[in-house]
Amino acid sequence: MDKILVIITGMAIVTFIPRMVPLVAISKLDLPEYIKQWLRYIPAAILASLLVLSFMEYSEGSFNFEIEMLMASIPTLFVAIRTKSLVKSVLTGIIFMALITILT
Amino acid sequence: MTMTLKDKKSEIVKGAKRASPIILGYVFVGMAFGIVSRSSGISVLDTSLMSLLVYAGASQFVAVGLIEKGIGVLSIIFTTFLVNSRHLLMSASLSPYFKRLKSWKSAMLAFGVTDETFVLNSTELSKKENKNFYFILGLHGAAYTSWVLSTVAGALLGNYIVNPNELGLNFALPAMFIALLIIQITNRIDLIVCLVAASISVILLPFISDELILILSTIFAASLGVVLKNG
Repeated sequence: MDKILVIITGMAIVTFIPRMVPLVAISKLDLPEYIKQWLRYIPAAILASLLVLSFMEYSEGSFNFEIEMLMASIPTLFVAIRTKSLVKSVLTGIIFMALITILT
Repeated sequence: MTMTLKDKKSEIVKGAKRASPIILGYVFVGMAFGIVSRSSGISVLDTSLMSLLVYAGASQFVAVGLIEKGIGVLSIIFTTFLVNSRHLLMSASLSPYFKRLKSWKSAMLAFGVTDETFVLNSTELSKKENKNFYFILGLHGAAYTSWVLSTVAGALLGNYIVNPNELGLNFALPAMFIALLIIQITNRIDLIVCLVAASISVILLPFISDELILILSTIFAASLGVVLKNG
């Protein structure tokens, strides 16, 4: 087998296992309440962390910000708070981002 | 509970429609991956195969970079494992909703767990617990299909297509994260958990990889949430 096919097959296996094991195994367990609470806080924490990673990076000794994305976040945040609608927020974000990219 | 074929179909369609923000984002990232992979000297077929079988964006970009540098097979596979081990937390967090599902169905849906489908699903599932297998299947299927097709498009067309940056699509996923965050925060502890996770992420940014930041900040902030809730 070609080297790259070995790599892809290996990657597929080690990627699938951490996705599959908790969903198949943990879902069968009766978890104590505090573990369930802990699992429920994970999405909010991951979201906040993903946002930081989307807007910031660190290289060569300094923090760099995605200024255009930060600008587009303001109308997106406004629409998200007002409508609580995913689609409206994302469309607002994309339109403003396109405008900012074209205009700057 | 028995479902007719029509019910199943309508749930799949509902899930697929709900995936639309993810699809917009994946079109952008998937095409970028196709282009980057081709320029690293990987064939169209292998590039497409990687998206088809691995389906994990960040790790695919990393792997392509390592392949180009001529790094060994085992190192690349191990790095992939490290980058994707964060999915353990996500699948664990979703697992209570999968209690009544047959193992093979859970395994099938598990293949579709990504950062984006996870945050979307967990918002959907916490609203209404009885979202069923077919809804998630539609959501995961649509996101996965868009990832694979846009990889193929990027790999084939490469530089002929318009720069998706100019369409604002690079902001589709961050915009979705913002909206989901707003929907998820329903009380003071939620807000504290978010602020703490964000602060830790900023503090750790100069020192460790993005994937490790996600894992450590999440473990810490979620634990703090439990302490605050019971304290």
